[in-house]
Amino acid sequence: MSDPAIQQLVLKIHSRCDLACDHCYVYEAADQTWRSRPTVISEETLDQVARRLSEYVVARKLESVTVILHGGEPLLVGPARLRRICAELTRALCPVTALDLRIHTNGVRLNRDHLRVFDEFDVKVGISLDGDRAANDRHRLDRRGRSSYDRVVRAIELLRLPEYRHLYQGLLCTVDVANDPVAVHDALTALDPPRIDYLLPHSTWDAPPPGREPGGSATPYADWLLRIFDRWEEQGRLMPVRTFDSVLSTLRGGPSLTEALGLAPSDLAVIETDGTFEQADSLKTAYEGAPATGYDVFRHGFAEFAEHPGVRARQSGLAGISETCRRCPVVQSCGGGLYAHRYSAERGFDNPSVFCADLKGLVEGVAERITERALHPAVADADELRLAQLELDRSLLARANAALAGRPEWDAAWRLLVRLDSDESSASHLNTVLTHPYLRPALRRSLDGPADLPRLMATVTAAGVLAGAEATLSWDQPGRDLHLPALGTLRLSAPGRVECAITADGLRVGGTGSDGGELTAEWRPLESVELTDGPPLLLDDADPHRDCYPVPVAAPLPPSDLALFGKRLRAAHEALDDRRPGWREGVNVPLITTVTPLAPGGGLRLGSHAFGALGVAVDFEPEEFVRELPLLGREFRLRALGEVTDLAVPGSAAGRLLDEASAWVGRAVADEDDAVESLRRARHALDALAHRPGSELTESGAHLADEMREELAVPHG
Amino acid sequence: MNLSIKATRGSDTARSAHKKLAPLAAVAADAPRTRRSTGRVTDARGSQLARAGFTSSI
Repeated sequence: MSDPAIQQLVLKIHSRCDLACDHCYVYEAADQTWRSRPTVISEETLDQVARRLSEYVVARKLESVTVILHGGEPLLVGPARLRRICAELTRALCPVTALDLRIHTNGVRLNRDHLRVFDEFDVKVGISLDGDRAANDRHRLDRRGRSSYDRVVRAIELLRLPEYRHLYQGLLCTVDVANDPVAVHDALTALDPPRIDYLLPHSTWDAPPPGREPGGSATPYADWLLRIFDRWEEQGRLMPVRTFDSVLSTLRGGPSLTEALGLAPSDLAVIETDGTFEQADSLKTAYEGAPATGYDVFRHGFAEFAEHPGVRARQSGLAGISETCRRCPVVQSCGGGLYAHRYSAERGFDNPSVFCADLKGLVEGVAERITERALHPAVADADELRLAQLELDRSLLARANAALAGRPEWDAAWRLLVRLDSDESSASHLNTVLTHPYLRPALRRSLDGPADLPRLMATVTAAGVLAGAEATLSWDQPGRDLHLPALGTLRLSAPGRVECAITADGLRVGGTGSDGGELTAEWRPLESVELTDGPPLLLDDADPHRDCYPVPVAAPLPPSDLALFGKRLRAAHEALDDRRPGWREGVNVPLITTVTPLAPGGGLRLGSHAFGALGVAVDFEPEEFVRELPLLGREFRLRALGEVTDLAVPGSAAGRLLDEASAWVGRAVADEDDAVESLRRARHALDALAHRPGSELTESGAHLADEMREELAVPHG
Repeated sequence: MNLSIKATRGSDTARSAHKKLAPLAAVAADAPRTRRSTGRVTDARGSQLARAGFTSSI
């Protein structure tokens, strides 16, 4: 099963509310199905929900699942029933997964009885509050028209008490552009929330948001949010703001953090008080019955719900959004906005968001604000580029350490790393291992899941071996091949608990295999190729993280094949030196340290996020090598610079034009048969770049563009 | 078993970098450069905050 799993359940435990907010999507929008639902979820329905979810979690082997108790107003069920609900969910789910249990409430009734229950079951509490008193009272009134502000603030004060602070999840604020954004943000900040989010008021093209002309170019919501963004920056980003963090993440190629933005597949199910499955309940804004699926927990499981066409439609990324959105430069950050906000009676959901101009304005406004504009020293100095890349690896390693801290085997490894780093001589060995190209893909993959402890332990072992440090590290090695980055592979007699004793003389490997036997190991070192000119190249055909190329890598080569591959590489370099003397000079020389054999037909390729690595097909032709390597040098530099600084405002057209210009300039100056056409295209891209707004390129990007113009002027001017 | 592993290569960058780098122990888990390179937003312990959260809760 590779389809996205359902990992968030919104469980409606009470279908009525003690407030009468006029912007509420449950009671004030097109869908009125709440009228026919049971007021409170029954014990029978709850048991069935817990059973179904537990079965699904086991079947999908989910490491964690989030359950959000919701309403209506969920506190209306009362502390005793809340306790039974939390107990049942905990009983069913905690033995099979990590349960992240939350409640979202208006806070009006929150008291110590509730909090004792939440403390017992570690239920995190999120509260809706629209800002300062004036802002909050614009919409959040009770049925008698009285303010809810003081009661909600009292609830938040309870959550801020030391004994309950750990339960305080954050504040959710619905935007009203009539409010003063800075006053709203400051009022929320004063309540010391661990996190905040700003929610656009649910609207559609048929029921547009207040203050917004559908299709108009004004951007009142973007302007409002960007004023808060500026305030948030000024405060030093005291707490995460989900909408801003999502834009910041996606602008740099990371994941979206809210279903309201980005192209992440939907992983959300809603279950109403009667046990019916619904899609995201913001769809209530669209039309009567819009969230309905026809499924319920008595007849259907979560796997069936996940296959529902409405759910699948929200898991198809770019293919699931409108043509207008697909062509938009900010689509990766915006993703067409919240699904409900795209609705019109005429075209269903095949529209951009009714907030389209605002979302584009917000993303572009954030991108503009975070762009690093100063000239980075790495642009003009290869040593600075190497250094900046090493700093990046060290930062990623520090992040992995934060995630692994507390595990005894890792803590021992980290102590060794810090010891190696504290001395100039041993630090150089440590940094030799840290600059190995395939550590970066390993560290990046650790960001998407549990850190790869065996890989990191092997990395520390490699650094210790190079430095000749005295240390012993041990860990559970899941496979027989234990690869020491930059050095080679230990083939163990079996997976198991490995113990690596490092001494000044080398490495002693022992331990107990999963078969109960004593571990033994065979050593297969990596080879290198000495070049006539330039530093030797490491031939890495064994690192498990070398599969970062757009084509398959070759399996580890037999010694004779590897020796032949090395000879051919050396010969190809010599041919390149003969045919293009001076190719090693200049700013675009490829800073290759490591070559990995690719499967036949793979050509020459750069790895993704693998600074210093070059993939070369085992059947490469010398002509191809001579032609392609200098061209790859340009791409290598551009990619590497892009990892350490901004060449253009993220998401802007200037960034794409810079890439395009670089590729064509490379072909033009390589004096190929099609040099005239390459030159024309290069000039076209540079002209287009010159016509973009000046602010789109940073000083680093402008430096590169000027460099290319000069290059074209010299040989072809 | 004992393995005598000889370094096959050294790195000029590795040798020259030490004085220019912040000590590893002082590098923050949420250093801005990792966020700019990966987009990933984490808390101070390096834990991911990445889930496309339900909008009507936090």
